[in-house]
Amino acid sequence: MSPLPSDMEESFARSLLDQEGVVPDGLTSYSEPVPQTRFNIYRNNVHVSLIDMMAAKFPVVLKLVGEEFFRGLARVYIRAEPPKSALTLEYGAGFPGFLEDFEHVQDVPYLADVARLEWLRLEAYNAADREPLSPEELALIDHDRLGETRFQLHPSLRTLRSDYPVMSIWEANMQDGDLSEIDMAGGGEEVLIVRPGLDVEILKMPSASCDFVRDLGSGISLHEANARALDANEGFDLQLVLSGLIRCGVFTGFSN
Amino acid sequence: MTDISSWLEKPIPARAGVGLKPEHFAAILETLPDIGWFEVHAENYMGAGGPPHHYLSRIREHYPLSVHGVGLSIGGEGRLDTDHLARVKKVVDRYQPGLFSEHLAWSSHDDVFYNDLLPLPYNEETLATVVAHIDQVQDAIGRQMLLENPATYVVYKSSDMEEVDFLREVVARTGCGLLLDVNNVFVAGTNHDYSPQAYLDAFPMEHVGEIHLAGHAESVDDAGKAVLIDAHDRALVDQVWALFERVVSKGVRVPTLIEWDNDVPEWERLFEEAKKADKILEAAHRDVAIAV
Amino acid sequence: MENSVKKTSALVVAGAFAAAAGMAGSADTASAAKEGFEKCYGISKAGQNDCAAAGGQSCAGTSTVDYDGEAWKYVKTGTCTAMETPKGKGSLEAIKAEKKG
Repeated sequence: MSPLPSDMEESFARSLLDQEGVVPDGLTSYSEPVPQTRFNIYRNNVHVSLIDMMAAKFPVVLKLVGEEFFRGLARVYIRAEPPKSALTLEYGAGFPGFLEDFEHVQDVPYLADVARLEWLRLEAYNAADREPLSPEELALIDHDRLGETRFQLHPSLRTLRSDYPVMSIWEANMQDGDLSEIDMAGGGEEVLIVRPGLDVEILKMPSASCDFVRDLGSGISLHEANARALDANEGFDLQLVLSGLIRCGVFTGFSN
Repeated sequence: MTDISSWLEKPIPARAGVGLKPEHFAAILETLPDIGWFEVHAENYMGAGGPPHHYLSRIREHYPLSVHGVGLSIGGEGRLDTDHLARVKKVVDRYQPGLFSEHLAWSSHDDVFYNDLLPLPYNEETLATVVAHIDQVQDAIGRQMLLENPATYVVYKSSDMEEVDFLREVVARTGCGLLLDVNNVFVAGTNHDYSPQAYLDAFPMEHVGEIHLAGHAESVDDAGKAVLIDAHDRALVDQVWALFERVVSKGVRVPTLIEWDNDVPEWERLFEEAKKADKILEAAHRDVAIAV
Repeated sequence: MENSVKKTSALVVAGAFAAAAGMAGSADTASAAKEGFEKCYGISKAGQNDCAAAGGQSCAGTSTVDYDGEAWKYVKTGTCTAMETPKGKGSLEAIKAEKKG
């Protein structure tokens, strides 16, 4: 007797992703009574399409560990955290955290942060569009109330602070640069990711900038955010950081 | 803001179109080729903003558009994902496509999405589920949808209806139309040892609103029999062109899409395939004119 | 006292902001370099990958075969093997780890 349809879909689905890939009961074909090679086409479609998707989203992680390792790694990830919705734009968000814990990449301690940078780039790529305020528009803000001004930041804005030179590693791999020149012991990097127009910009920021940007983004006034940044790093140069942020199109609105 | 009212006056013509790939955005906008229309996968335009929407909006200003869903899991036994249905509706509302289509297949089970078009048995029980799902989709998007016949690799012992009869019954109960994928007919016919010609002769052509054409890959099973894979990674084989001509000769003149999703060629190569399909459609029009 | 600090600070903030807006508005590349914002130039190549990442979903199957299972060893062959970290180079560690296990 054939299983009930509800059992069918359940066992079909389970066999798609598990290690064994046993043909579910209730399937047949004219030439193979137990259609293993045919069922494997579905299994293969699922695995290859998802592994290819991960490879397209994390090209520098792939380059760092090599194609064969990456595809094996992605297969383990897919089984551990399969997509939860048809909105595959969001699939892969958990990959950096997965790498953080995965035992076989612990000898590449910067890998998770490189994956984070790649993920934030994709987020910025697909984020909502907004026209940044021009330097001229910003110059019109009432000087007497500037300290109390709160800003709206671009919807695509993301920041990343890493203990590793994460942007330098990413850039060198995207450009086939000389990796031996990267100073792994030279400390971390603070990175700004934003897409003011069509192109995603990635910039290395002065230290203490990540928290400053995050504070501004959470609605803290310019004066207060500056005070906090100075507490964290007395060399924090407000003018330089602001001009960098304005140039990147980070500011999209204000209220005071 | 783009004036979408002008789009509504441009229905999709009974000409060849191609699946729009990001690799071709620039070439299309630079050359504005004389092609009938484009089709996109809804799921690739579900982000909030960015380059995908920028380019699609610009291309939409020049061409009729069809939206093809790949993730609703209409053939699944579980409930439709209403969040995903809402996202599909948003894409449809934003781009006002001339056609919207989805697949007779499932891709989600419980809370996992498998990113592939998986087969279902054809019987009264699955028919009722598919009908309910299509009613739900058509209610949500406020228009008729087209349902596409699948490329399949296995058969369910619990199927007791022919695929064509199943589709005919879905149409009768929901009022949806059909998207006839001629390559899928060839692929499934080969994989299950039936005649693609006979399948087409039984197909309810009066409900076909769109045709898909694509290339496929070849493999063999353990018994040494040919198994074709619907890979969309190369040009069409002659047998599929011949089947298309057979469909056209039955008087079917509908928007016809060339799908090429893997190993995507240069724009010019893809455009050539579309011109080939257009020639077949034009020749049929001419024959009709001569007969009159 | 507290009041005057606050006032001075507010003036500093205003001045810094005005100067920054002026700087950002100028096309002076020298001042851009001084900002301490180092622009990343890995972007143009990345654009090619954006296509794949953005248009990743389709209704096609695949003829690419995924070789699953035991053949895969945890050995890295990519560029991480060229970068020294305090923990050593990537692949050497991995091979050692495998021999242990």
